[in-house]
Amino acid sequence: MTPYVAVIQFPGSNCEYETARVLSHFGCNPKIIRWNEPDLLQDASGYVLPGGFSFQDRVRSGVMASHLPIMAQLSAGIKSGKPSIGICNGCQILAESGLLSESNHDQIDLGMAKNMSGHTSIGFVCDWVYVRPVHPEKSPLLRYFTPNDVLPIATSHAEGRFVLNHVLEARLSDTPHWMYCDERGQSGDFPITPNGGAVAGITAYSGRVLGIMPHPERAIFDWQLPWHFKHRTWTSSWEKLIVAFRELL
Amino acid sequence: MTTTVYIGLIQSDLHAMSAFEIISSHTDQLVALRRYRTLSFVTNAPVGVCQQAVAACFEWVNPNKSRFTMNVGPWESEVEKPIVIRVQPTVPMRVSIPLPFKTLLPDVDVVTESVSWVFYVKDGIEANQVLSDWVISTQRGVGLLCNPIFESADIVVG
Repeated sequence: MTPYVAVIQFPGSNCEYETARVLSHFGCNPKIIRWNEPDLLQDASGYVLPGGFSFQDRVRSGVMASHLPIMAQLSAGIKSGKPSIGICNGCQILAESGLLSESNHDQIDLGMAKNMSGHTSIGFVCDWVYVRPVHPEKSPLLRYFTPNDVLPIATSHAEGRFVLNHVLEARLSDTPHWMYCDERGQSGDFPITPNGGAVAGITAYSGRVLGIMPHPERAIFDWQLPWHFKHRTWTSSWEKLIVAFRELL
Repeated sequence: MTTTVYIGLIQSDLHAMSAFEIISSHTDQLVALRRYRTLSFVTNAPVGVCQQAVAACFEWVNPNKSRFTMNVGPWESEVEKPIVIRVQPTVPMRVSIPLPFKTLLPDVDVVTESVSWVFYVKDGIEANQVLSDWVISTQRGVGLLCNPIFESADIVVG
């Protein structure tokens, strides 16, 4: 059987086809697998959880999907070292499943809270923002980026603020992750940071799992970028993420 | 006199239906579950003016639902005795106030949002038990209605 990447389609996913298209473009052989086909995960070499609104974001984003039987297979695969990327709602599902915090004790230690500016709820934010990697050299998925990279990316979510317990908070400075920034790489408040927290994405399991709230698959090709980005020369691009992912398969 | 006004909004039952299914897979003590979005604010204005303000802003409050109640939760009218537990962000989450509302209630600066879960349970189940086992639990499989990392929960009726 040809190795393939499982793009897991949950009820309410809406980015699975564009994600599969990007994976296919970079030679990852994606296969869209439904939430009720857990057996097909077994032979996959890696996983991508695409964006969307699984279960209509009932109760809170990602929590319903995290209770699905397929999550047991996914968890086993991730713990065996298979590379995985969760984008937007996929990131929320990984967070709710404990797969972004490497929870061995079945305790909730990380949450994706609503977007806030100060104490005010700012609801759904759909915009172009910038992110930069922190400690990319420590993650096999981020290894082709450098700490000076600043990348444009589309963000589109209402519950994207990473809230960590004190253990994870203390560990964050050593964990490869993505931070929101302006085009010069400087941190800032809303709208530079679209959700009230500086973190845009977090890696886990020795950097082989990435949960990221903005959408790399919407910023890979030149034609996807808004016109006001196009006069700039970028030193990096999101294809580095997919190439690194492919090499881990 | 300062009055605290609570607006209980009937929310789509889908939230409650999905949560009910998951909780019911862990216990057979839960009979029914409902969910209300609750907004609260403090004002000196008469109740009539508050109602007018909220009615004028109903689209802002909840665009696609049919009714709201004030001062008492909508669960007050239920026949069976409910247990009501409020879940709110540990950092009080404020919602922005639209102009018609602000015009009628100029003294209201802050409206805070929370979610009220209404439990109908079998006899002998106490509110404290519901709170600790089904709401605030940090067990990943059970802690569905409240993420204790960024939310808190307290008993409103029970």
